[in-house]
Amino acid sequence: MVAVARRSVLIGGSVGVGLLVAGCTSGGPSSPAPTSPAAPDPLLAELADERSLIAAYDATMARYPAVRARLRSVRDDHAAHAAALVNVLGAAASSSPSEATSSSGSSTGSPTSGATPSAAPSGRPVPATVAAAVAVLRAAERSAASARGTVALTAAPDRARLLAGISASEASHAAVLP
Amino acid sequence: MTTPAPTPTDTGTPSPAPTGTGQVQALQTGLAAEHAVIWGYGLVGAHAGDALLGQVRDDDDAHRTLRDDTIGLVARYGGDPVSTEPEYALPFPVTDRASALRLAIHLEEGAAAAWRYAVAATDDVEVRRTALTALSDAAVRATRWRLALPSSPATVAFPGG
Repeated sequence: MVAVARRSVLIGGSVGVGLLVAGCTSGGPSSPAPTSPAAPDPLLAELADERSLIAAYDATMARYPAVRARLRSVRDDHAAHAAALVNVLGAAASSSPSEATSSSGSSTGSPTSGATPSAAPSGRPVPATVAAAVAVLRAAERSAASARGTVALTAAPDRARLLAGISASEASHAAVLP
Repeated sequence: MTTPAPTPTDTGTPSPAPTGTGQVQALQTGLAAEHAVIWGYGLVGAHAGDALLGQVRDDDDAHRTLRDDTIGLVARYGGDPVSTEPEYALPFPVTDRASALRLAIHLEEGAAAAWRYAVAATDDVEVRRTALTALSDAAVRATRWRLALPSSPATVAFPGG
């Protein structure tokens, strides 16, 4: 019971993000929340953030081929994170189906990301120098690690374990970014 | 060496602490791993070579600090901190720089596995925070060691398995 109360506080804190994400990705007016009547699953915001990271890596690799090899494995880590979150979220994850298919499949010619800098969900274009572009990724990793870690503190055990692993992976990414 | 085994042996009773459960079990799992890692770094230091001795020393110090802090936490939650073993089984012979680096990676992966288990073993926010920090630090150190021994990607999607 205490855990429920705690979690609702947490959910309350991320409602804005969740709604924003839903507004950006689903497009349609009818996007029912299948499991919870009030607030969206907090993992949806984490999933949206993973997809945003993937798009940012795709855009950076497309713009700067010289660092592509270095970024590839990090990008693949994020793809694995997103897949694991989709797995846990189950049906709830399909509330943003277009993002799911376009950003988790790296080999498919994704229509929205990579080609045009403004297509990244974050809305930010790729910076004009490779150093600045990598700095943006590094900052994004740091805040992603922090966000996943914060949710892990009060999540159910299985989710906490998953989010903790993702957070630690993201913490390690900064060490390999050139 | 250290695997995220379902249940350590010596915490038969539920946690006595008022605000959560599983703190002692979670911390003891991490502590047992830290003992093993510190033992292992002795071997890493003996074979890694002069150029990497600074990194060995830094990581060893970090683990000793974490071990001491964890001993204090176990006691604070009413547990009897587990002791180090006199010896641990090596996953492979350590005879040169390359095998020493592989052992360092193995040790950090073991620490990550233990602390990742610890995150899920308790619902106490402060203990989870401790475990999460230890997990992230181990993942970062493992990545640095992998960079010193380039063969596969330096990061993994899920440190600690």
